[in-house]
Amino acid sequence: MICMSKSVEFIEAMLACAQIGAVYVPLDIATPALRLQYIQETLSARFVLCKKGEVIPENSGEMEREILYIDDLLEHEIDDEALNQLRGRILVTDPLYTIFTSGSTGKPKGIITTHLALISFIDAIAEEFSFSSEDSLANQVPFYFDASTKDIYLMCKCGCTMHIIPQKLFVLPKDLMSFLNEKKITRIIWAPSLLCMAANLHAFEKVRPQYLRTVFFVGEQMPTKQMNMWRRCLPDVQYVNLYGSSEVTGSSAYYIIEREMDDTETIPIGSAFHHMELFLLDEKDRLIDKENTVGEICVRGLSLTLGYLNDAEKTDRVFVQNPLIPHYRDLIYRSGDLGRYNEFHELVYICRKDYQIKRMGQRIELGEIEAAVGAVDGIERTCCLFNEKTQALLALYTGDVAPDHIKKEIEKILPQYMLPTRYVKLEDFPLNANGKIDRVALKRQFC
Amino acid sequence: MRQKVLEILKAACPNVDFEGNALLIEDGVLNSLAVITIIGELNEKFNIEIDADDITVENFNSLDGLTRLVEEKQK
Repeated sequence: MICMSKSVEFIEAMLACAQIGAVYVPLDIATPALRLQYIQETLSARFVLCKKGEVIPENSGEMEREILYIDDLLEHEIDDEALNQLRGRILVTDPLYTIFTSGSTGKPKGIITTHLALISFIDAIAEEFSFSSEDSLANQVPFYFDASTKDIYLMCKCGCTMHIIPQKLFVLPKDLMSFLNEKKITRIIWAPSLLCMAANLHAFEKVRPQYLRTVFFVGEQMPTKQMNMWRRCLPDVQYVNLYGSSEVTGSSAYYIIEREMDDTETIPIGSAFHHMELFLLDEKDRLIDKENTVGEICVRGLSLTLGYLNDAEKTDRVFVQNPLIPHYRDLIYRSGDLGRYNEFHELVYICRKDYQIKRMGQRIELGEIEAAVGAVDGIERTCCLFNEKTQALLALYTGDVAPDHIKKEIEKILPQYMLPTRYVKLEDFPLNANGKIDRVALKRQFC
Repeated sequence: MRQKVLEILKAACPNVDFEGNALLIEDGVLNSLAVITIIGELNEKFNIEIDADDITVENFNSLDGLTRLVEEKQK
C-alpha cells in the first residue's frame, strides 16, 4: 500500500514497486482509518509506504502494519544484482497494481491490473495521439484512480513533463488557467466536473490557455453544452472523449470531436483503442450492428484487468466467455453500460443498465432525460431518479432555472411519457468517493 | 453585513468553519464544491454576479474577504 499525498515521491514509490514485481495499491493520505484497515485486511498487506512528516491514518485493526518511509528508501544504494534477479521473475501477465473503487454494497472493491494491460493501453494512446517529450501534462486526477495512470505512464513512456496541479488551484479557476500557461501545458486529461467549472465561470475567457493542444475528458460523460463553451472559446484545441471503466485498464475507446455538435447531443464513445475491441450485445447476446438499437457495451482485448480481488463470483459475472465465439476461450468484459449507434454509426453511451426503467409499459433511459434537461440554458448539472413504487420520475438539477422553463424546453425533445413529474433544484449534488454524482444517496433522500 | 454573509455561508456549507483562524483557500478548508455553492448562494441572495476574476485567494481566504467582495459587488 502506498499512502501519501500526491507528490513526486508517490510516483517514485509506484515505479519502485513495478520494478521489483510488487503489486502496489495507491491510496490517499486522507484515506479514512477504517477504509485503510479494510483494504489492508482484504489484501493481507504488511507494508505501507509513507512519506515523512505526513500524518498516516491510525491503525485501529488487529493486523500489524510495517511503515516504510520513502525518504529512507531513496537513500539506499541500488543493488543491481538483486534487482535483476527480481526483475527476471516478473511476467507481463503478473499484477502491477490494484485500485480500490467504491462498491455498490458500500465496501470498496479492488480491481487488479497487469503489466500487460497497462503497457498495451499506454502504447495505444501514446501512438494514437503522438505524445512526445515536447508535451507537458497537468495532472488533475488523484493517483488512487485508474485514470491517473495516463498522466503517470505517458510521462514514463514518452518523456512528457508532468506537473501536479497544486490542490488550491482547483478552487481558483483563473489561477488554474494561469498555471496552464506558466507551465506551458499542452495536454490535459481532466474530469468533466473541473472542465465544467472552468466553463461555467468563464475562466478560460479571462485567461486563455495559450499552449493547450488537446483536452481529454475522463471519468464521466462530458456535458455537450460545456464542451461547446470550451470549443467556442478555444476552437483550435482538439477535444477528445475517453470512455472506459476501472475493470478495463486505462480507457477502452476515444472519440475525437470534429463535427459540430448540438447541445442536446451526447458526445459519442467512438472507436476502440488499438489492442481493444468494443461491441454491443442485445438481451439475447446477439451482436447489434443496426443504428439506434440499445445494447450492452462489451469490451475485449489486451487491457482487460484480472477482475475483482477476492471475489471470484463477481468477477465471473462480468468477465465472461464471448458468446459470439463458442469454439475457444475468449474473455470479454460486460460493462453494464448501455449504448447504441447513432445516425453517423458512432457508438453512444446511454446510461448504466440499472438506469434503464420501465414506466407505463415504456422502456426509458434515464440518461436520455438527463441529456435533455442538461441541455437547457442555465442548467449546470442534472440527475434523474425513478421511484418504482410511486412511478414518480424526478429531475434534480443545479443552476438558476425555473422548473416551468425546463418543462417547456424539454417538451420539445422528449415524448410525454418521458417527462419528469417533479423538478427539484439543489444547491449542489452529493458526490461519491469517485467524485461522481452519488445516486444512492439521492435515492435515499428523494425516493 | 459580515453577519449576514456568515449566515448565508453557514447555511450553504454547514461543514465549513468560517470563523476559525484557518485560511479557507490556502489551508484547504474550502474544496471546489464548497466554492461553487458559496458563489451560487451569494449571487442569489445579494443579487450580484461573481465571476472567475473575483475568485482569488484574497477574496476567498476569509469571511472578511468574502464580505468585502460582496460589498464591492453591490456598488
